[in-house]
Amino acid sequence: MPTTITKSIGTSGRDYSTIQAWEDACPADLTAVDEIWRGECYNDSEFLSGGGALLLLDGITTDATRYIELTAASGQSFQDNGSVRSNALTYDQSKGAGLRNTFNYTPNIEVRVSNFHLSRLQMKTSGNVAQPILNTSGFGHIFKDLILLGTAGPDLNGTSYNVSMFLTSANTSLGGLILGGDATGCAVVRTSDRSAAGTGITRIAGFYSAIILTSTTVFGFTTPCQAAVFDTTNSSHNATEQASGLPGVSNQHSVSYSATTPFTQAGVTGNDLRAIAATPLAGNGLLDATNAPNDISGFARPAGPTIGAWQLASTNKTFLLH
Amino acid sequence: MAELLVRIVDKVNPDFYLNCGCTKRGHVIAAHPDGWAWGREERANPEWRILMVPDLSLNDVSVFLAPERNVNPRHPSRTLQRRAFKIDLDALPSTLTAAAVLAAKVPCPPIADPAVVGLGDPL
Repeated sequence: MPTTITKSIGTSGRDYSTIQAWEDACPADLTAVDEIWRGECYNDSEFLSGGGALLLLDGITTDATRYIELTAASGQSFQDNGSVRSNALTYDQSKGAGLRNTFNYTPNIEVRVSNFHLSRLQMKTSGNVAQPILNTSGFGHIFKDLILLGTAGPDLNGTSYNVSMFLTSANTSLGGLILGGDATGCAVVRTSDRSAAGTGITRIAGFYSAIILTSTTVFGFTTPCQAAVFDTTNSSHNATEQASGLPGVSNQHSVSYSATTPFTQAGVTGNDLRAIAATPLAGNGLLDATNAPNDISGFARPAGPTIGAWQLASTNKTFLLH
Repeated sequence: MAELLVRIVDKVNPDFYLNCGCTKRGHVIAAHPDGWAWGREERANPEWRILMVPDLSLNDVSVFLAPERNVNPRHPSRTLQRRAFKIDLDALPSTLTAAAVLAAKVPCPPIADPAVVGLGDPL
């Protein structure tokens, strides 16, 4: 049974003031020492970089049970904010630990190892040119409960649950998510301020398995999903404004998309990716009770949940009793 | 204007390729403005030292934080190093100045991949 080594990261008397130093202190071989290396971010201040990636993970031996985990400490995530259900679903470091990179061409986090778990954090890139928020190689990663906002979509070379990605770029060649694993309960949205363009979800180079996509929204792209790379038998319950293009069955196509539907605000100003009621997103998702029983805010999903990262308080389904 | 967290002993992974990605002596781990509130373990870890260089700008430091990058996207390297440059700690004087630190900047030479013979494009 591996020992979990937990370290605090923040700027107010923590173990580490920088995420990179926490990573550098990690043993080079976690399998040899039989440890999980866990970093807990405190929202003492914004984790900010103007000169390169906030974290580069490299040179560490891992396996599925001896891995590296970066998350928010208890009470420090946007999920823990007392007003999480009424807060906008967007990057706002005042609501929880957040990582922001203003440096062009570099991601917030670059991963060159396997088995990295990332959760309960917000990340934003605000450079002038395309910056993928996350750039990951290796395998066995898990991404869960993340708010991502930036000019280019992340490479998520692993399994994703409850990832909310808002893409702000005017560059029509930039896609949303680049996946190297299955995704459930995610939101991939290109701002409604732009005309639809690009591909919402593509498969990462070097990943050859068919991707299972479930209960995920893909809006703002002319092509929701890359052709011929998804598992069309097991993918289901996704939504887009396009008339076709989602893999699998039980999908919602031709959903109206504007600044105020089906999300609270899909424009760059005042961005808020909480789903609104009375749209085809409500009640038409698929519950993954094992891996994503709660939405991105920690709110319990019912059977027949809302499609996307946000669960409506009521699914607004009408049942006729005869 | 800058404080640098610098590794003073090599971090070693027994795997050849992963070892390329480990930080080595003279690699800068992090850089912050003067007076930075370093964490408990950043101050105590015997494998690191904090260098205080009052006249060194953070802009000048950024070169020490950049990782080695692929020079040929058609041949992604498996031996990329954590940093493209390091500080030659043995060349530093006892009184640190920006000029001394920048003069001690040393490129990390590329590591040859033993599994690759020749680096040209396929014929």
